Amino acid sequence: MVQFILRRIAIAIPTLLIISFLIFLLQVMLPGDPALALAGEDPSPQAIAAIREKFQLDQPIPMRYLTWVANVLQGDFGMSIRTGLPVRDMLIQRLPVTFQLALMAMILAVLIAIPGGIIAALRPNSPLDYTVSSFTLAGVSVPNFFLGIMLILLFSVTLGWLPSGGYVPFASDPLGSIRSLIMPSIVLAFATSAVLMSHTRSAMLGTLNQDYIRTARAKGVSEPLIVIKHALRNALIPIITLGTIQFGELLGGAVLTEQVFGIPGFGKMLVDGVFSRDYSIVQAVVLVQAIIFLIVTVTADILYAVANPKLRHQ
Amino acid sequence: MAGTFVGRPQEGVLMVETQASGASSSSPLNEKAALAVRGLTISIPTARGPLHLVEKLDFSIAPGKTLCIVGESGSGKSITALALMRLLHNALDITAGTVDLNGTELLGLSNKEMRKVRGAGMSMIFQEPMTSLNPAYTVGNQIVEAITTHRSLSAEAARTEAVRLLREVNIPAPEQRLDAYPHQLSGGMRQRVMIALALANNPSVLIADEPTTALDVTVQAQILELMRNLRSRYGASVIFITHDLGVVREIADDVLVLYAGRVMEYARAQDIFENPQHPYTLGLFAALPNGRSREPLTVIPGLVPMVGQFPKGCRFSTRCALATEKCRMEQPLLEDFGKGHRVACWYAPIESTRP
Amino acid sequence: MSDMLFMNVHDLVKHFKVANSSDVVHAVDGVSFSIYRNETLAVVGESGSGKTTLGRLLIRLVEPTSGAIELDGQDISNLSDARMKPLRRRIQMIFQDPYSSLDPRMSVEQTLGEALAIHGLAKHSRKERIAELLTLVGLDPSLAGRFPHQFSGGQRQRIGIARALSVEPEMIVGDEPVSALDVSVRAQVLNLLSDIRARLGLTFVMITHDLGVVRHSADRIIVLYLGKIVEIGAADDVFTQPRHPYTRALIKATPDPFRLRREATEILGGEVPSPIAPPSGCRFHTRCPMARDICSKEEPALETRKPRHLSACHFAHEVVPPISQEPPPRLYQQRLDIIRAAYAGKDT
Repeated sequence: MVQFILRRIAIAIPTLLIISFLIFLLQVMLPGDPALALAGEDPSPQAIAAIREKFQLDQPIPMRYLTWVANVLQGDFGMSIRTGLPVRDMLIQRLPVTFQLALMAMILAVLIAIPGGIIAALRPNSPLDYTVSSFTLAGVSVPNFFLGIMLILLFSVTLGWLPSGGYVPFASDPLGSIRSLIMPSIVLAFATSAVLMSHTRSAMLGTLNQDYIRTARAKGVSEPLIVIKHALRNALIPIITLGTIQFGELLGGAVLTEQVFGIPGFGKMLVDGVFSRDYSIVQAVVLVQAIIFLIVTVTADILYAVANPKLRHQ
Repeated sequence: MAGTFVGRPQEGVLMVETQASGASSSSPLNEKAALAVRGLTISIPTARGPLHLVEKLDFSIAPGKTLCIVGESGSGKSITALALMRLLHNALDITAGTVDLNGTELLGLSNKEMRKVRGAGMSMIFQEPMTSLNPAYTVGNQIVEAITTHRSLSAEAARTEAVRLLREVNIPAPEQRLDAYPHQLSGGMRQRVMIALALANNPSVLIADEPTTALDVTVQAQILELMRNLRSRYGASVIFITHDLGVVREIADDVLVLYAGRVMEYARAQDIFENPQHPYTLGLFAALPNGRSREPLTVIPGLVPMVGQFPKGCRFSTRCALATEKCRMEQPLLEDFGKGHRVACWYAPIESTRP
Repeated sequence: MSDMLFMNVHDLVKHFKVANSSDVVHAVDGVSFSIYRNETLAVVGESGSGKTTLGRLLIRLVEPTSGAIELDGQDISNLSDARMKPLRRRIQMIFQDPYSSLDPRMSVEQTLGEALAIHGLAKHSRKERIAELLTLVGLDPSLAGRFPHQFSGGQRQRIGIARALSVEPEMIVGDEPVSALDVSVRAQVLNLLSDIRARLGLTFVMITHDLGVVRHSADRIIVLYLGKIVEIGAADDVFTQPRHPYTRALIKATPDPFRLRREATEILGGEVPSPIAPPSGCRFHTRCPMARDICSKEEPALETRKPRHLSACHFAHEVVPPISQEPPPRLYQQRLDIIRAAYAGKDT
């Protein structure tokens, strides 16, 4: 098992290197000159050159890559071209926000999806099952921003129960912080739970038809135990993988949702970075997203192996 | 008034009489039954009314005896087994009959009461040892579950009991095997585990649905031997479902030959092998490859008819070489030809009516 | 059975690597034998014996690790695909599960037409040929437009046989061709196979675990255990006078409706060991009731016990013949004769 985990991590490292190089290259190839963007209106050639030198834009590409990697490894993501602040500080500020949002959305999604999927699988083609199917369809097809705006209209504008946007840091006001993220997490959980639910339903339908379920019934095991202990335990094996990867996607930042609710998260950081051609920020965000995603897929594989005795004993 | 007054007790007496005679005569062995099935009918509801997959099935098993239900695919043997456990698929219904297990009428029990019977009074093992155990739990966990579902034992006592059961079914190093997952065991070992599960609460009836079909012949021989030993040790009655007449010879006390949901022949095993009477039973024997001759095998032409396409008369009449107009029009009754040897054929025994 | 050699297999080995491990499955581990024209050769064994792999090696569905397969004196074990193609037509295979070996989206006509096209039969004559093939395997040619799911298991096996026959092969390898079928249908297919074999003069290799089927149809038998031949000989010799304790145990373990129950002591203990780490010496010694010291140390050679009857056992002469079958009871025989006559009269 330890060997499996080590091997899985070893495979991830070259992947990470390739991704980091691609991220770096994409940045270089982007149209638009950041030095021009920074230098303001009608800059003198000297000013542009100075900016180029300061941000090492004049160095050859492989050199810039190596310097960048070396810096990143020391936690230095460079300075924001726009604000002049260290990108690392921005990351430290934004990541917890996105993490909190992702966590809340994921918990909500799991709470909706797993019971919903089970109920649908227990009574296939019943009205309940159709309700679940419609929910899934809606979750997949309703755009996030649209749902977000609708929620704001209802809960903030009409009812006035929840703030329409913004973020209260968890450390300063935990309850207020959760309140500020309720609507965005509902928006994110909607689509996430839809996918998760339809997968739970089909996985449960699959396991409920297995021979070992019949064995459990023949032993006299009660129905709730059969559903939870025998069917769900096996259905969860693929669901865990899916859920982990969905969580990874949420951690990558929800660009539109964060934009709609004005949440200073990871996604918003990326959007702002792109609009201002702030290379260091875009590079940093995309790189961190890639790292998160790699960690998440490795975790998903490990969890899969842990949940599946057949793999655990190899 | 007087008429009704007299009539009631008479009716009652009559009922008792028929029940008593029915109970004894439907077992070829004329002994007290551990399990008695009467008129069992399993149907699938359709828009044009129910179709019977199994119709008016009568049989009983004495304690400690083995009844083999023999039939090809589509005969209804597996759904009969599931019906006895009340584990039929939702789409199927038991539309008539009684299932009496040691005096308890199972079809009248609530779901909760029936759960207490499953795995305790009556248990079941299945054909596919590879998929019949839950891959996510250890063998020990699954045996302990079978024990504690019906008995309140401490975790430790249940584990000791599980080890004992594994030893009973001749699994080497049972203490270690308890922590093994199903995928770490061979097919033969898994089937032994299934038997241990089924025996966990000392059932009076054990239903085995083709338990050796998926196994190698040398392992099949071991499992059959094990089942014979356990039957005499535990005194459980066994319903053994198979399509293999060789296996029947090895294990059966009584034999029920099922065809398209109807009993064709029901007799003691010895009678089936020495004095078979129904053309279908004989056809099965004739179709069996044996070492005695290289002559072409006798072929029963065609296929078991599908549900809904059963003939009006004898179910076997569409494929029977001896069938007459009467066979095609009228369903023969299961008649006793002596010593409880019952045959559903207008022309049994065939040598007396045939030229 | 004739004495004309069709195929010669020499020291054939197939090892499979286990994924993510240095383990090797010794599926077939040095087998040598001949196949004669027009004979039915049965390959018998339990799981792990390598019988399925051997069948696939014979038709070059898998590549051998080493060894030679000679067809008409030419070693075909290393031929390129291009040079193998004309030879493939000569050897065809039928499978256990007729359903999974037929493409569910292709009608019978398409399935058979494809086989005919691959081997270059002109299009205009295909339809006639398909009708001819279906008639040959006892199917109504008017069913040619139907799809596999519209047929029963026995009918699908007939389609599989028709497909194999479509290219006029000289040899057919059947991998458990009747194991998935019900008793009455199995008899239909077995009769069909023996009829076709006789009419078309085919050589037939039947891979099976079912000794009842073997005894009925095989001329010669190869008994495999963990990738090695333990015994090979004429069917009658092997059944009445096996020269290997494993063969004897297999015969004894096969349920037979007309044999007394066997004694408990005669049941072979244990299970087939893993082909990843086969036992030393004689591979059967871990389960053999006759095993002695030498058996775990020295591998017995496949030696001739009588003409064309070979076995690999240090104590072959000690193997006691299995008890023969009981004669069938009188009443049983009488009624069976009536039934046989009745069905024969119906001309099935």
